[in-house]
Amino acid sequence: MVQAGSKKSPISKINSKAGISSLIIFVVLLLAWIAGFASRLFAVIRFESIIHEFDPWFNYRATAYMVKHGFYNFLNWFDERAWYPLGRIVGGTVYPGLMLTSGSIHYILHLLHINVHIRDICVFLAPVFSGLTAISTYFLTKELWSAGAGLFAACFIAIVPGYISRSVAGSYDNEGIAIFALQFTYFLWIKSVKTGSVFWAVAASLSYFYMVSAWGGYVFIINLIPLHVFVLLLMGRYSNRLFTSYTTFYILGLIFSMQIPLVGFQPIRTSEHMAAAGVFALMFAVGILRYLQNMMTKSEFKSLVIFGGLASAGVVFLAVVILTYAGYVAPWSGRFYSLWDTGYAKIHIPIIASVSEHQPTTWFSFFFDLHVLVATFPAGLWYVIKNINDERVFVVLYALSAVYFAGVMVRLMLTLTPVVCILSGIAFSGLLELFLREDDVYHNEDSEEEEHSTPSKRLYDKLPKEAKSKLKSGKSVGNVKTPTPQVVGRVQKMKHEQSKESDGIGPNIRSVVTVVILLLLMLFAVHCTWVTSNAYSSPSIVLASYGSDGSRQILDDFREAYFWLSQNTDDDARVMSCFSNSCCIRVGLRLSNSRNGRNRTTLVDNNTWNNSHIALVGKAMSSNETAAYEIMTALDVDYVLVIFGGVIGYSGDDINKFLWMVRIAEGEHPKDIRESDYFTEHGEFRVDSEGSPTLLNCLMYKLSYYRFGELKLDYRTPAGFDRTRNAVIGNKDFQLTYLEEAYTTEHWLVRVYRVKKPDEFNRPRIPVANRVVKSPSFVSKKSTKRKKGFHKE
Amino acid sequence: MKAIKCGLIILFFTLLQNVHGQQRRQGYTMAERVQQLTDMTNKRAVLRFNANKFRDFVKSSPRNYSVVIMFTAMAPQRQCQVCRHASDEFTIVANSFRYSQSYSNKLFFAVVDFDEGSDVFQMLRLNTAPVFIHFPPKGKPKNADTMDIQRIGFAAETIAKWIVERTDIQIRVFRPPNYSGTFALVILFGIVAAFLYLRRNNLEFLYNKTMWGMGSLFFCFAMTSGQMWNHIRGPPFIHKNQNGQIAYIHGSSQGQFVFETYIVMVLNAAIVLGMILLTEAARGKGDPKKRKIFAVVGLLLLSIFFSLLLSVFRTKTQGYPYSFLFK
Amino acid sequence: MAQITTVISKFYNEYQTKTTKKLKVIDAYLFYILLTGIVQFIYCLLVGTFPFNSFLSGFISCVSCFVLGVCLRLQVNPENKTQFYSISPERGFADFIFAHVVLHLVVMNFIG
Repeated sequence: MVQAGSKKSPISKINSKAGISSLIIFVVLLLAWIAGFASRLFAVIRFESIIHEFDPWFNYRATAYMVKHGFYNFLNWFDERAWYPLGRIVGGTVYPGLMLTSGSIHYILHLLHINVHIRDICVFLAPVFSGLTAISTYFLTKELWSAGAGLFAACFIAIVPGYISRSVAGSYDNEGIAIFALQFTYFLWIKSVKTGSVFWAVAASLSYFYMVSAWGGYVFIINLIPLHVFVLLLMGRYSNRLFTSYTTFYILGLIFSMQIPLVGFQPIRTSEHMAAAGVFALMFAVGILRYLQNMMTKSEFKSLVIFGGLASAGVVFLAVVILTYAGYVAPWSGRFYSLWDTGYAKIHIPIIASVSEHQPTTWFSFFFDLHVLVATFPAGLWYVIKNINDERVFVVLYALSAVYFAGVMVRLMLTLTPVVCILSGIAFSGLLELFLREDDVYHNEDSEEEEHSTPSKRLYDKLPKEAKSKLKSGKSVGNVKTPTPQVVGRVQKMKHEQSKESDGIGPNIRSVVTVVILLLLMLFAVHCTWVTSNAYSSPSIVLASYGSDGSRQILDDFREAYFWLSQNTDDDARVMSCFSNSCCIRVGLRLSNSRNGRNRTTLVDNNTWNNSHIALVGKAMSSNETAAYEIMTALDVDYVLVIFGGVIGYSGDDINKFLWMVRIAEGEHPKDIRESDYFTEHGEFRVDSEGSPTLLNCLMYKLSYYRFGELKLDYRTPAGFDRTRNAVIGNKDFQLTYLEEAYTTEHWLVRVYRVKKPDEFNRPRIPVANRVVKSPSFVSKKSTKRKKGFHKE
Repeated sequence: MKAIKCGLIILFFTLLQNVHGQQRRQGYTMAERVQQLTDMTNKRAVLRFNANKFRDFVKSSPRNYSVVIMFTAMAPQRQCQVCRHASDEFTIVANSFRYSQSYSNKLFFAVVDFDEGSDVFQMLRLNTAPVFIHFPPKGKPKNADTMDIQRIGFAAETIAKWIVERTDIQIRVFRPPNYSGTFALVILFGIVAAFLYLRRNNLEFLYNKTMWGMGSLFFCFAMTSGQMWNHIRGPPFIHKNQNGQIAYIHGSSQGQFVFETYIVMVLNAAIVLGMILLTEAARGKGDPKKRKIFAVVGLLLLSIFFSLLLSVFRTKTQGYPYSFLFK
Repeated sequence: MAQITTVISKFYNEYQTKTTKKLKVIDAYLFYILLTGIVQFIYCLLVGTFPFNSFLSGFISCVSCFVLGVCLRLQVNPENKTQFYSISPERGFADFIFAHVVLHLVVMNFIG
């Protein structure tokens, strides 16, 4: 604010309009960057500078390894700690762009003798890149519409929750840098379509290369750009510019993308990439026909087209069929297929359907992530369609495909967010450009706004500022940029003049409209801050609960447990935990270890391509203790960790996700595990005394409810009352034979068990069934109160 | 999956035949029975059993084959819609088995209709239809040998899965490809092509931006209001609680009703309309009065419907502090 | 068939008369690249694609040389001046060189 204010006075002295507009653009972008950066810092300020979840943690570990041992060693690194006992060849199974980016930043800073720890770079990488995203969004929107709309779009994307969700400080994940790469690639592509220059096309393919190295979502680019070209062909908008830009982009992008070890030969082997190749061939066919058309008369041309067209179509079709049939071209992979046939994943790939990110999207999530933008971006789309040209076809296609994908999968909201920002920017700037023509009108409102600005100061009064600068820049752009293909600017300017002549709308209505729009934008800003602060800024290892008076209570059970693990277990201990959607278990494990410089091996994590392995863990969890013990000894497990929310009513615990485990286990071991066994006669999943005996005796149940039957939570409920499922548990008094309780955290959220060695329980062999009944009343020596946070060593 | 068992309550008729008087045909050996069954299966994948055949092939021992029987009531006067669906699915499974590689004479599929073998129903104490029961080679059918169609339904895939559980015989369900979808698509394309051909001299409408714009806006509204969620999850249209009150809006942020999504769609559309009216009013030329009205209407649409949308959102979020115009 | 042969001969005549010398040089280059690509393809059909990345890098570098040559030809052609108003032939050639530098760096990495 201070900056903007201080820069205002020199502005008035400069006469050159170009100077003013570029200064304003610079200031607004800078402010957008700062605002975007600052609003992503909630988690760091509230907790500490840590990496949040499992995948980020793995990325961080890989980065640290790369910084320490160099790039080539990194590519050949075999990590035996992940995916125990198989191990993981890291170089071939990650997208290296993220590690390379932060590694090179680290290298450059060290060259300048700024000693920053690699962890801090990793924590702050995503917020910094969000600023770059805002800038590339500005350039993209400027190419598509006007500079004013670009500034709006940049400000929107800097603070919109749909993008913040993936780029808060500490979430060190591929998406953080991938959205920047996505926007930048699109910008360069639009630029190259506009000019037809080989240079921009090469730049676009280089940026595409960066995107491929960063995120698997590059497939979206390599399908969207050919789609754009194809639709342009259908619309009869073929030009030689399009030919040069697309062919150059495709062929260079093809060979670049094959440099990434994880991608390998996929671009010529899988169906996802075939559309691009097809359009490439089509471009050549059309190009040759055009060339010949210039040379010949019409009738000759016609016969040639018919002959050549039929022959080539037949050849292409036969080639594709034969290649697919012979197995050279793989059919669509399951994940992509599930995007089209929405029922597919549920039936065939339970592991994909089990991940909460792959669920369809409710309107609530749309509004939650995009707020006013979700209601206004169609207006932008409307104007783009009304004033269509080559590059605007692109943004229309982008919007339509992204909105479809976002509807199918919550996770893909991320690809929708940038285009929504662009289109809303167009809509708002179109509106305000027309309504804010008298400079004196808006000044009053602005001061008014600043008076009642509340908590989130930075963001709250930021948007009006942008709106103001937008007005100026929008106008000045209209005046300055006449030569280049800025058709829009000119058209609108003409309309300005027309409306000036017959100004039908009085100043009153004008000002009311402006105020309302500014209010909407402010609501958007506060909404973004609220969402960011409440929903997206808690590291998943720290649970915050809210009391009835709105006070915040922090349940730090996870970190407590991980700290215990890191202090009390051997360095090479192997911990088995579930592979449920929240990967927090293993995350935090590593988290506390990262501080202590120690590591634990985990069996299964979220990067789940090895189905049989997961199924084995699922089987262990869902069979009875004896069978589970065999599996656990086979896997060489030392500790078992479960998440249990029955005491505090945390619904995301393992019992609630247990059915997915059973389903996945059933997929691989249909003889031993049957989903139907876990239901009651009436097909209900219940944990009380009416629950099915299989469920009441499986390992997961026992580990969760061990000693729970003695616990009386409050006076109104009986002992052993599970708050999450509102039921008294059915199997109360039992003992564990093969495991022993090692540690339970304060709120019982995390329970750790140690797997006994064979000599520890080999005393008298009594059948398991008898053992359970043997000591019906297990007398605890400790009072209930002391039992919390109790541990056995 | 509509696991609603057909609520057909069968009236128990008096026995027409004396059960104990049927010892006469016990003469078949096991090999003969298998041979007969195989012959019959070659003609038809699903055998039709009446009371006698049921006794001969299923009740008699020893056997070395399993029989999966669907008890049903297909006669029109029984009015059992579910039975028809179940029968279709069952036939699919039987056919898949009949023509698969794992085909053997260890497993046979049969159907017993109530009107042909009511005494069988009585013998097994069945009073509903359809019921799927597996008769293992040894011993009597246990509880688990009756398929729980209330819970898991009777899609061909689930029947196959159940059979695997009971008999260890893998059946890959092969549905006869459903041509109706393809057929409809071809017809649609045909109609579009014919339409284009008829209007070939006047294809201007393809360049009509308003039409394309409307189409894509509608698509956006449909997606952002969560129609895809409805399509996949199939929520109820509205919710009626015990007191007869109707809830149009789902209470939590995790779910939604169909009607609710329509409301949201209309709200979104109204906001967009407001935006467009406002812009047009400021840009357009025409009559100043008209433009003024446009501007006011657009403003009202924008502000009122947005605050409605926000208040709907607020009811679904706990502790959301902001609102605009309405609470 | 006869019609097609007449069409081709006519096309040849037109080409000889209308195309400038600069473009003919580029066309010769393109023809040479095309032949190289075909030879590579036939070789791989006969011998096999064993070091698949080597074959790919060779073949794709051929295709991309061809593509870049075509682009250069389009940009240099005075008939297309209206479409590439911001690109002079010299600029086009500089772009061509730049793209080749990038391309061959990657190809060298890929050829293994």
